[in-house]
Amino acid sequence: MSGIAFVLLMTACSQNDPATATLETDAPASAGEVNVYSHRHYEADEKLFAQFEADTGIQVNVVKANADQLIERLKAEGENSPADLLITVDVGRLTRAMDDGLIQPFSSAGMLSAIPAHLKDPDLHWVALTKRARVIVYHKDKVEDLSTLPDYEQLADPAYQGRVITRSSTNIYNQSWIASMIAANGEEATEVWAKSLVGNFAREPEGNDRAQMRAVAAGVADFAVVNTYYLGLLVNGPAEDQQVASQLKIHFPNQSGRGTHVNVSGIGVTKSAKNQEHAEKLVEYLLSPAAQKVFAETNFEYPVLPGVASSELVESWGEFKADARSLNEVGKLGPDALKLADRAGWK
Amino acid sequence: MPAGNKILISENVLRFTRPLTLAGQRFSWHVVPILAALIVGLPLIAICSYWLVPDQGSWDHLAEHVLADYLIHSLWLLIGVGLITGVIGVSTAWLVAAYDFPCQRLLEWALLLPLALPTYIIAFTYGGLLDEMGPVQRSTRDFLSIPLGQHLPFPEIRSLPGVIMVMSLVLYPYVYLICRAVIASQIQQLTDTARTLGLNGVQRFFRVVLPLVRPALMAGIGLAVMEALSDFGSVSFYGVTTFTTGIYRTWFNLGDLPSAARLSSLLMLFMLALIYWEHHSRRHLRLGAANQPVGSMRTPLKGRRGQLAGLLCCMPVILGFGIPVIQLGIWASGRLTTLATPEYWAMLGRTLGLGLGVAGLVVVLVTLMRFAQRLLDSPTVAMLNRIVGMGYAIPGAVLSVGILIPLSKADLWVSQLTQSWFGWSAGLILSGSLFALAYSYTVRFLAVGYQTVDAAFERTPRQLDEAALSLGKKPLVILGRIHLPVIQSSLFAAVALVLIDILKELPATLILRPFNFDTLATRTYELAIEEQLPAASIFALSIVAAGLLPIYLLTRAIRNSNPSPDPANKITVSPKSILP
Repeated sequence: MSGIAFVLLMTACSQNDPATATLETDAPASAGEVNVYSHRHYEADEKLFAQFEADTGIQVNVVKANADQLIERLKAEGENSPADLLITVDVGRLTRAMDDGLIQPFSSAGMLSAIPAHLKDPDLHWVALTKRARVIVYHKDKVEDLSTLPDYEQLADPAYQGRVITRSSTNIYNQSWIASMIAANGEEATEVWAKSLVGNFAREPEGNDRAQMRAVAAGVADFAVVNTYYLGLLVNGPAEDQQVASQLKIHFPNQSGRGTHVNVSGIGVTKSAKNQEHAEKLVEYLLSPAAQKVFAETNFEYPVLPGVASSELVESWGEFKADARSLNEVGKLGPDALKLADRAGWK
Repeated sequence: MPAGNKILISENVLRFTRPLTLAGQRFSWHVVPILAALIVGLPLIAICSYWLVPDQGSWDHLAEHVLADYLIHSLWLLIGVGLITGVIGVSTAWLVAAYDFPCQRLLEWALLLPLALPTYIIAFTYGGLLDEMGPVQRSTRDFLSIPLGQHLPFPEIRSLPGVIMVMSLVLYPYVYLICRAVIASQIQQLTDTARTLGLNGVQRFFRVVLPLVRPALMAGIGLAVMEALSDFGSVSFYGVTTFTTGIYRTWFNLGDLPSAARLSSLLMLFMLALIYWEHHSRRHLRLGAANQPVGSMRTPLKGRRGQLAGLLCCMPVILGFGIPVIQLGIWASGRLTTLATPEYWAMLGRTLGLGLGVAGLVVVLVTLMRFAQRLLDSPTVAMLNRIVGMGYAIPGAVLSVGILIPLSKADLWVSQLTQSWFGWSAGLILSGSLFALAYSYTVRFLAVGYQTVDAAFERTPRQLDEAALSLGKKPLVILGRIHLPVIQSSLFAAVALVLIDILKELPATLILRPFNFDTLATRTYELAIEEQLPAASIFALSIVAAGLLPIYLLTRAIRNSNPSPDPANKITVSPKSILP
């Protein structure tokens, strides 16, 4: 019996060998590889990487994980890191990677020239790939007077007692949202707001944005703060999800003021990149009209390249005014936002 | 019990023989336990060293605002899971070991089935089943004609009580296994005592069985609770803040590794206390000689009482295995095409290949460790080996930090070396390869393998070694010719047990896996956390299916390893061996 175990062990080891061999090399540029640490976990990305491989012959290797973990990993790996690119789903992580000296500026401003200034780092450390708006969705039968739909600030008013839900403040979308509130209203006012908002929660934060919308559809709460593309995914999901989506309406808050909070999913070349040229080629590809269209159509995000249309569904939600504050500023407030959430008892 | 005398005698004999036989050996067997202790100790030291790094300003904040929450929730988790697993585990163990009733033989092993479900899988399955858009609430709505927008007052599954319930449903087998073995091994004594005292079934349970299994019960609970406290997937999925989610939040969201490491070491203190508890409980564990030939001592339960016993024992199996697996099956039925993709099979092959490889290595290492302990017979070695058990108490995420830090340093050093020698950088040969992952599995599950092999060694009479040593046989010959043949089924069980744990492991795999290396667990988690439960189900089911094979082997190993006429007594894999 131990003989069998031994044989199994040997085959297991030999199976692993080729994998290890390709994994640990810092392949020379000529081998045609680019190594990506990505927090994005969407079908759209897999499609795009496959297309890029087909077009260029450059193989895209991906480690998908939480951007925070990837950043810690980059730190630990130092100059030995095999990663060439870091992709995050929020600006906070990009600024952190930048502050920690983990990403380097793109080699030419030219490749990013088509992207609007507020969607890239002034020093070209990172560029946005897509935009996502953090909006309020509400149950279609629970709001009678559409003119009274709330801004973010009003969600903390007594009128919304027991009617609001959102996910945990551990989640980066909420962190950046709170950070944008701090940037707009100051820390003190935001803490007061956050405490009242927590008091208005219909239940303790749990689940992701999709779960919040399901809960609103089921009548647990009337309002949820979510990213737009989750609604897109619901509308195009299985019948059950479509039923959820049919109960919901979307509201872009703060239109008469600073605008709706917009976060970006972005990308930067790591300081340790061994395949910088390929990495930048991939970035260029991801910013191309064709790729931007895939982000828009498959994942219902807002494209960052002017002239590329959003998906029909996203268009149907209408135009909105976006908060134009510097994303770097919002990103840097992330840790403060998290501590503020702790103080406010926002799980 | 003659066991104590036996050890006493053997110690004397060894004291006499050792200088004769082990002197002049070029290979010092001390190397093995020292090496093992270093393997486990390195990440622990790396974590604890962060108390020396100055606070980045978050620690006071954490202490003031969230630490109490983490503590209270973790304590509730500990109490809740401890109580529920204790009640389910000991009651089913007692029924199955002491009585004959319909399906008793079947339930004897079926009660182990929930072991195949990792906590995060049962959590997301019940979450999807019972949440507001899940089938249960939807059919209730349909039945009562309550429209979708209207709130249905259902208890919230995603809550602290919810997480305690679902975790207990898959963790009770730890208690069951260990208690059942104790009861089964002493059933004769139990029955005699009860008969002498003229007790009925219920009295028997409270007055004879419970005092007898109390150490086993405590040890089992200790293990279940350790597992619960190191869980990350379920609590994060249910939005419950505990130490593990706090560590993640502090490390990853606040970017404050030193504070996260401090939190980790606090959690480790908890774990150490539990290890002490478990160990202390085990010292009082009295197992009868397993190979004592006894006839069937189980009392038959006829009619209603038998049906009731069968029903009671079915419940944990249905709730902890049947329902979640059926729900996963329903979700997966629409996704069977996934099975036809080469990616799926590649992933399955990778997961199993890595798991078997590491499990094999672990078992080789623990066998050498345990053999060294026997050979050297010194308290220092025993203590070193005990350090190894602590690896199991390090939650996966914490362990990843502890491993990544020293390995990255080593990589840097190796690269500098190769650079200066060959002008070529070796890159991340340790931290960026499967080595890091294999290392984390080894640290985490060495204890699982060790306990299994330990129990097997304890059952092999020392006189065999002594005789061989006095005949001048070399230690390796003794190991190969005497021990391995005797304990081979336990070794096999050890590989299987370590394999289950590796297949289920999530947090360390998520962090430490190399490029393009998805395992079944990481894929399941990625999809589940995105609430794509149907898509996750096929991978989750694969983990469960893969976990069933080791359970089957385990059951067979338990049954086959002792040719006793009574199946209830065919346990040579002692309870201790099953569990870390």
